[in-house]
Amino acid sequence: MTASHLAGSSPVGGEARQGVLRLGEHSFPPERPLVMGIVNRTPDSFYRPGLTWDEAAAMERVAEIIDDGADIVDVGGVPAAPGAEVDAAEEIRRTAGFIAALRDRYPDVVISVDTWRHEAARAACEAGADLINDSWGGHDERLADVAAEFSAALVCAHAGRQSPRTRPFRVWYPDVLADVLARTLRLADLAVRAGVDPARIVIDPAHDFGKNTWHSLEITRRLAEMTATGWPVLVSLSNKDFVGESLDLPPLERLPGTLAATAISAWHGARIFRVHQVRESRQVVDMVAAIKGDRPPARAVRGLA
Amino acid sequence: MLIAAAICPAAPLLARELTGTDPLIPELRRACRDAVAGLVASVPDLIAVVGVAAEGRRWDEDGRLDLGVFAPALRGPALHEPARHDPARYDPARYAPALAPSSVVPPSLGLGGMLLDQAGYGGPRELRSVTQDQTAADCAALGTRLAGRRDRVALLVMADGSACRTLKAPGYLDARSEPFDADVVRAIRDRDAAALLALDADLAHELLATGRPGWQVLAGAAREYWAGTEVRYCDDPFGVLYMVASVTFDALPAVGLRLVEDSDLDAIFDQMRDPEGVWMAAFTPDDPSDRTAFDAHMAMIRSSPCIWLRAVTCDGRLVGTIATYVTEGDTEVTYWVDRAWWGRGIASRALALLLDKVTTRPVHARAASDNVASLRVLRKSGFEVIGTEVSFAPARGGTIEETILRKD
Repeated sequence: MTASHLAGSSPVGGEARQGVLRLGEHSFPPERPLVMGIVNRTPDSFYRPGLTWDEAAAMERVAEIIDDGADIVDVGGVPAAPGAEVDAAEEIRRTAGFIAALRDRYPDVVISVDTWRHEAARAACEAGADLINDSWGGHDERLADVAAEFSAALVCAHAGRQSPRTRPFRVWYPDVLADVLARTLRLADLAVRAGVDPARIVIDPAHDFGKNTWHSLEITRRLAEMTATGWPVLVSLSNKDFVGESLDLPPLERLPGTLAATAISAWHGARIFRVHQVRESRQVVDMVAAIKGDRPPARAVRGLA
Repeated sequence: MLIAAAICPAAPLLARELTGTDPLIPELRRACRDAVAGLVASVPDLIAVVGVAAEGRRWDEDGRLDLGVFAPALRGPALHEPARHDPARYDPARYAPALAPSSVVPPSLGLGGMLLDQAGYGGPRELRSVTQDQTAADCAALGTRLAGRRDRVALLVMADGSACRTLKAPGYLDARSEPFDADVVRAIRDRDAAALLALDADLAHELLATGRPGWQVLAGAAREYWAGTEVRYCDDPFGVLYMVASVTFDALPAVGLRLVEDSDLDAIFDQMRDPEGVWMAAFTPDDPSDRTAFDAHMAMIRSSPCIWLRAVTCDGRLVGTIATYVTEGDTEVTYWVDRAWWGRGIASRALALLLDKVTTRPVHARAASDNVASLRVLRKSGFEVIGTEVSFAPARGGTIEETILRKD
């Protein structure tokens, strides 16, 4: 089952065309890459921990990233790495009120909530979130129901067999991309059956989640196999360990590596880019779009005068 | 018999192709190389590799590690493959755990095989996986079986301690890891097979100590023969406890058969009236303490042409007797080992020596049905149970069941 099949157009030679992606009131065409800026409501995330823990600082950061060209603001209350326990109540306390304030101040921006829990997703959607960004691959089966109930969009990710907030331990795959496709397509199928609008479903290979650096590089290299399914693809590459291990660099020095992976993913047809550094990422995806011919140069006069 | 063993971590990072340069790994690899070199230098007939996997079974000895399950790029260039959506390669409707095709060995065994290849070992191997929930008794029994595969078996156990030792560890930090691992290391250094067999399997599982079944296989194989341990590496550079050790075993004493001499009779008399031995044998003379009856019986069997009697020696010392005799046309074997020498495989080897000399077939044997040890010796030597009988056993003061066996 593929997105375009559901949308009515037929796959061509085993490939399916990317269709319109609906987030909130927006309908984004395939040629328009979307930058999702990360705003972590945590004191201990891996990249610049505590940057947006204070609510005022977080609001300032949102203003910055929207100015830098973010299409989506991704609000998360729980780090991906193991650490101090954050239960559902605390997670909601960190995110729901902030999302309500965001929605109030920015009626048009797309807001996503970074959570695997249906309780936090519900509170976020009630507060005005448009997209449920679940990196842990459907650990909570009720998440899709919440998305359906609120007509929210849903990210269907592959996390290997990891439970939330655990690290991969000697993970191996005979064919990692086959595993990624099997899992994400299954989740997409379940979401459709639960009543989620097919035009609001996104798939995500979730780099480094239940995968080592080699696996993440492989899925980046073969990302076209995911975009060829017709479902919109989200990639979350920003400053991740697979970049760090490829170049032997710590988290604060991984921007060039991240942008390289971003450009490749954009070339392969990814549509949503979850990033810390919005301005640089915006430029990279827009440049790739220009190279592809999806977007004209912003201003071309040289040689034409 | 087990002549040497080594413990190495089952960490994929042992494979150089996977890791690039990391300053902490070369020392670990060197320790593994030395431990495996020691195994090969012991000149085994067979090296058995044991490691954890999703299923417990024997694997093809030609099976090799597929590095591609950890590093797809190592399989070859895929850069120019056309991107296409091929539903035949997966089935989203039946998402199931990815199982490797059975031609590829589980990584823990593949890594052991890699170490053997790197050491230049070209001899026979047996690859055997155990599961995370296999019981201590099961693992120990496997160890005993592997030890008995050949005359000279070396064991390579791919095993690690807890993966939850630090905040950065794959399993994050669990404070119980340190004491758990310390107990394991102590047991291995102190050659304490019993302590290894008593490890809490559930706790080991929670602490991601994937070596628990492997250590217990070693403990079962080593039993009381564990002579020495050299720990070559014991550290947790990445939050997982890696231990590399070489293990040595007591040499087995030499078993032989010779004619019974007059000077043996006192010792034989004492052996054959040992209360525990008498109880196990069950079907003994009415009064094993009657010396006159014993002397007369010995004189008779030593001079009878239908009876083939030998003294069993171990490193030259008299440890028992073994004989065949003919009753109702059947050749029957009987043996007695001094209790002080039980549990060292002496009966099995004496029986093997006899069966080599006495070529009459079939040959029969009998044992009290509850004489588990003797029944095991006989079955291992190729005897099959053909029936049972209930008879009066003087040593038990009543009738008991006796098992009858035959070797063709």
